[in-house]
Amino acid sequence: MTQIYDYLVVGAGPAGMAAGIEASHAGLKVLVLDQAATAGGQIFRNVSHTSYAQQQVLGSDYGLGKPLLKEFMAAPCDYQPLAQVWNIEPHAQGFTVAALIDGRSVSFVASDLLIANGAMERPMAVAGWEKPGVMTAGAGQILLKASALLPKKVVLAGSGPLLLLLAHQYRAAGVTITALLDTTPRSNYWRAIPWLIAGLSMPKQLFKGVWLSLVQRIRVPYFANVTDIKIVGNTQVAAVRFIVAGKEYEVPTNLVLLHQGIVGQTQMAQALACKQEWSDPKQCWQTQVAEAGQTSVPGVHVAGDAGATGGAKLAQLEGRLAAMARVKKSCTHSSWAKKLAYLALSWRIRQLHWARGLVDRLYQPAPWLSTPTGTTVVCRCEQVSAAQITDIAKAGCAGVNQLKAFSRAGMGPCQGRQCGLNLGYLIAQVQDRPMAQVEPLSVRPPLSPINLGQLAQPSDV
Amino acid sequence: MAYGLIQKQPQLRILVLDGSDVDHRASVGNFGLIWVQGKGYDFPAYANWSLQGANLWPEFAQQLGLQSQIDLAYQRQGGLEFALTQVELDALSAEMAAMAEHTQGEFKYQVLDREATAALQPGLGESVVGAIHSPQDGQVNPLYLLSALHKAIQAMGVEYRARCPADQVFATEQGFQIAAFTTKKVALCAGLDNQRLGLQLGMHLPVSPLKGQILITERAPSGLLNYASPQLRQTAEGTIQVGGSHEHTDLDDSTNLEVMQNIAADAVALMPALAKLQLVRSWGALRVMSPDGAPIYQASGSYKGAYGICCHSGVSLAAAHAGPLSDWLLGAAAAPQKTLIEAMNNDRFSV
Amino acid sequence: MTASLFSRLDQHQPSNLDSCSIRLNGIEHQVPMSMSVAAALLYLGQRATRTHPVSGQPRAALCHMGVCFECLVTIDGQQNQRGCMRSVTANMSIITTSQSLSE
Repeated sequence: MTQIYDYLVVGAGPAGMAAGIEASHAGLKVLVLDQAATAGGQIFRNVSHTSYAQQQVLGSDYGLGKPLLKEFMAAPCDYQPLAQVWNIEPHAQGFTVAALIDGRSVSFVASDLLIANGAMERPMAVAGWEKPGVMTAGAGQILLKASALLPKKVVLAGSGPLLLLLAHQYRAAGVTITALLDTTPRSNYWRAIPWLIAGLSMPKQLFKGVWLSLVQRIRVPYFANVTDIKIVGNTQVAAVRFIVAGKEYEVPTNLVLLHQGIVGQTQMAQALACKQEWSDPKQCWQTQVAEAGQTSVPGVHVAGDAGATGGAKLAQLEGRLAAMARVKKSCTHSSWAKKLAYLALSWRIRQLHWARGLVDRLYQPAPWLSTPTGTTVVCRCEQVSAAQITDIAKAGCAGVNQLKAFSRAGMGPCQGRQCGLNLGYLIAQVQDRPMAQVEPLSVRPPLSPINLGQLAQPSDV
Repeated sequence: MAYGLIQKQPQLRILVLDGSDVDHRASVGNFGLIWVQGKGYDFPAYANWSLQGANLWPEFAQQLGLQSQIDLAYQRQGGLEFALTQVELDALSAEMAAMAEHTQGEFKYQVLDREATAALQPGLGESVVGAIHSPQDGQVNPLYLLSALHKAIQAMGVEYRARCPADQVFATEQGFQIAAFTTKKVALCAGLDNQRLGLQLGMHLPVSPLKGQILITERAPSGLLNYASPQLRQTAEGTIQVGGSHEHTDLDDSTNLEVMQNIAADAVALMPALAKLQLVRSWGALRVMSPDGAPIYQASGSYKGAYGICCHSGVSLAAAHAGPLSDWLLGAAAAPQKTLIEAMNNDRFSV
Repeated sequence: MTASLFSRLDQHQPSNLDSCSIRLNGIEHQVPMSMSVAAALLYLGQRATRTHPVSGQPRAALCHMGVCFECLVTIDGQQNQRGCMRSVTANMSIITTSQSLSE
């Protein structure tokens, strides 16, 4: 007989861990599923096993994950690592989640769900980005955290705090940064000025951000206001070309790390038909939430970067608040202290999101990046170019889903994760429609890979 | 329909109104078969119509391909329907015999035992006892077909408007009014919404949703599947499509774990090598089903110039729709076709 | 294979991470254990993970976190596995060219 959990959390990053801790200590039957071998998500990836040398390079913020992880591992919740959730759907007793564990599909049932599966990098579709030797800044961090790997020489290109942080970490570790190409448009700085007030509400973070930003300009070959990035090479990256103030440059390199901020991974919420909304400041789709991460579907909450992106601290607080909301649902009576704690936490989260407004606006992707042109590959899986997509959009298709049907863009293994946003931008541009009205790619299982044999023979729990 | 009409009468002013990007569309959940065997084994007019349509496909594909510059990946190398028990094979066999009778022997088929089936399609699972083979079955890429039709009709002057759903159709003195548009004639091709719209135009078009779920795998080596089948099909890209579920539901095209598991289990039983293929996506789509599964072609009795066109085999019948059905819509169908088409109106549902 | 673009941070320090023997495209190598397969490929200088089925051009991992599906390799006979989601294990066989369906 399948046991029914009170709370099933997908993701053991800061949000998922905090939720697991809070809900299980309150007496609920909790299960946390995570795809990695150890908890921590991406931000605290491998924090349980990194060496001293790695931690020195990664910096003190990374180390903040350790006490959280320790508390999580000691909490009385069920925790299943190496579980890849591939299906999630309503069930008579709430919801059923199917995950591939050790080569077998296992199903779990829970009355309530918390989706805390984090964010991913915004796809930065520049010409030649599909060549070997191109990866994301996040990939650079993962290689450092999980495999203690550092590049020898690298070009960093893009915009955002993570790019600056990585540059700082690499420099500290002795990596040669051939060039840092900053695509942040000058106009972003002007537009962000009113939001400095928000940033000032978190002075430590603001100072650190400014310092990182300024330091890079002095210590590495730094180019500001970069446009028209083209990655060239035959079977791998050989150089990066770009334009600054009308002048064309070319930097030879075999390795380019790209970054344009992060966007929440909305597929799980979409699979449950949770309403999505377009965020203009963050320039991405996000799951619509009310208080404490409640989605439009009763019983489903989101927390952390899977919802409105905001970083590790915010994720941890949101995870805790979502769990508190779940606990409140089961308890008929809650003490004054609990009520106050809930309100205080709610307020703090709202404040931190407001502060985040500075980062969102300062590092909004430059418009040229959102609308690739010509032979630039937009759908990597099916090799569909910007020109092909623009042609179909011009012929008047209804939206990205019909575009997908006509072009195969979005039909490959990544299921539109790397192209969905840009398909929307291209349609919006060609058809002169606001992004908020161009519905995102619809989501279908499997949410992660499973083969027919595994699907045909599920495991009994 | 628009494609057929504009070809026959290039001077016609045709407008196609289409819904939103996330509306239910059977056209993007299609399996891609141009299927003859078994269609209309209990309905002679449908059997003949189906076969005729399949025979019109080669020319249709060539012409549309040229006009749109899109390769439809049309193939007519025959089809196999596999049977997992002798009872199943015998039942299929009887259906085919009936079809041959209805079509005066025009419909060709063979009942194959296990050995003969395996000779045509290696790699079959142990439980396959045989199959029906028909050389008249074929397959096409349904999305490329849709794309090609979109492209071709617009190039020929048909006006296409997306995100322009037809909520109400009003009859006027000149003809009809839909949203901001006036027209002399209107053809309802709105799938499941035909029932609601049909009522506004004095037509009883009893269609209801029959969900089908499909699993699509990663690319497999080409030539893994030699023949199209309602259970399995290998697309031109090499991906394998697995389908065959039938669920009576409301307007819900979501996938469902249990059904997906059954489809996968059936596929692996048919061909064990499929077990190792990764599932890349699954799909649910709503077939537009009439009570007996055959199309409904209806001219409104009370509103002249209004027509209802419903079917669940839009791909199989595409050539027939672009050909003789378009003639019928223009009042120019040859007598034999007219008889066939009129046999598929809604009179057959009156008690 | 070409020279590796990456080096290990702990290279000159005594490491308590065991290394293990794996076979990449038939050739045996020692790699630190607990590295992901995709990371191990970079470490060994294998810059491409696969050949793209449509373009025929080489591709390599973009994200290393499971959302780009470029790191698809054949691991122990199972094709199209995301290399970034699996850790290397002793005697693992990794093949980076596209493989035909095994029986």
